[in-house]
Amino acid sequence: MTQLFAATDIHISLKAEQLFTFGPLTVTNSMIYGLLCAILLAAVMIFATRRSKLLPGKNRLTAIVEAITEYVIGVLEGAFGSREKAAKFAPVFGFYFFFIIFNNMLGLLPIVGPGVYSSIEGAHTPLFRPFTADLNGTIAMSVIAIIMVQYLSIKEQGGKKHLQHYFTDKPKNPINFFIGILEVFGEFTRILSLSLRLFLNTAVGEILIAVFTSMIIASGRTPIAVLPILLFEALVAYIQAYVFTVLAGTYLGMAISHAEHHDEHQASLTSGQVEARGLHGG
Amino acid sequence: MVELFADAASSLAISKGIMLGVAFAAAALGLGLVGSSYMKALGRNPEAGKAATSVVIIAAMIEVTALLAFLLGAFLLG
Repeated sequence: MTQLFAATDIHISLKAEQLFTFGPLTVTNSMIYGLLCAILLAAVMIFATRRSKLLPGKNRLTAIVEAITEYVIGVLEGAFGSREKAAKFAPVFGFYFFFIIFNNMLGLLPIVGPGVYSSIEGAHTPLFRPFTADLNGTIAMSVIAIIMVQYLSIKEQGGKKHLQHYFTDKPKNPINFFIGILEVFGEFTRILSLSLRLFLNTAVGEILIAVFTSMIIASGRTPIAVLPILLFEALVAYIQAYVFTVLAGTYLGMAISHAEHHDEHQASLTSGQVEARGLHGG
Repeated sequence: MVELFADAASSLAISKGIMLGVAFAAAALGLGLVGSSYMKALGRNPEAGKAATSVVIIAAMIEVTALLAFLLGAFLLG
């Protein structure tokens, strides 16, 4: 049942494969892996936050999780423009960072993908598949992200201001109305681009590793040459988590920036504007 | 109908190769342009380091076009 690095024939599949059916639900290998990852991530987070103290002791896990959280808040600060907003929305968007990077990094282990095969119901398919290398998974993630952006925007500034983000404050003008409709369609484009980017990067990385491994295995050597590609894929895993988080944060930042622009014009000056005012004696 | 392409099987393989090559070359060129512009901006004005977030996002957007071509060429066509 278990074969590590033993497949000489390349097993490439762009879609998640069915393991078994549970009533009307088809359970695929990426669903199993995604569920496992979510439980593991929740366990790590709960364990780390329970040990969280004002004066840190010797708990390395807590220190690492806190450092990454600090980094994510810093990244979101660029998208929202202020640290208060970044810290407020960090639970929503930080989740994507942690979940994607956790998924992608664990997906590089040899037991994920064509390494360990399942023999449930006579099927010969890999038991695990990275959740982010399944288009269903990434589309679900980006749909939730866009819906959260809409919800948080309405909660933050009210429905009227939220619609003004699309249709400006003069929606009777036919040009503004048409541009508003285009903007609404733009939200669907965002779902597509977010999900396709994440899916293709992870899936192509998995294929690359599988192709190189099988090429070297076929000539009867130990696949050490795959190591640089694994390291490159670790970099890609981080970059994709970063890009997804920053883009989702930027979408919300753009949606709620109009409210500030009218009400707190003084507070939302950028450092460049402050500098320019200082130079002109204002 | 006039047969423009004599051997359909081999022309498909050649067209896939050309498609992937052009797509990857163009994506590499685009990434290089982004990188070189960023480095130039950083050389002229070290404050431009703030743009690193946008650079990564633009790079990811360029990359996805190449990956789409890979998806089309390697899996979807024929």
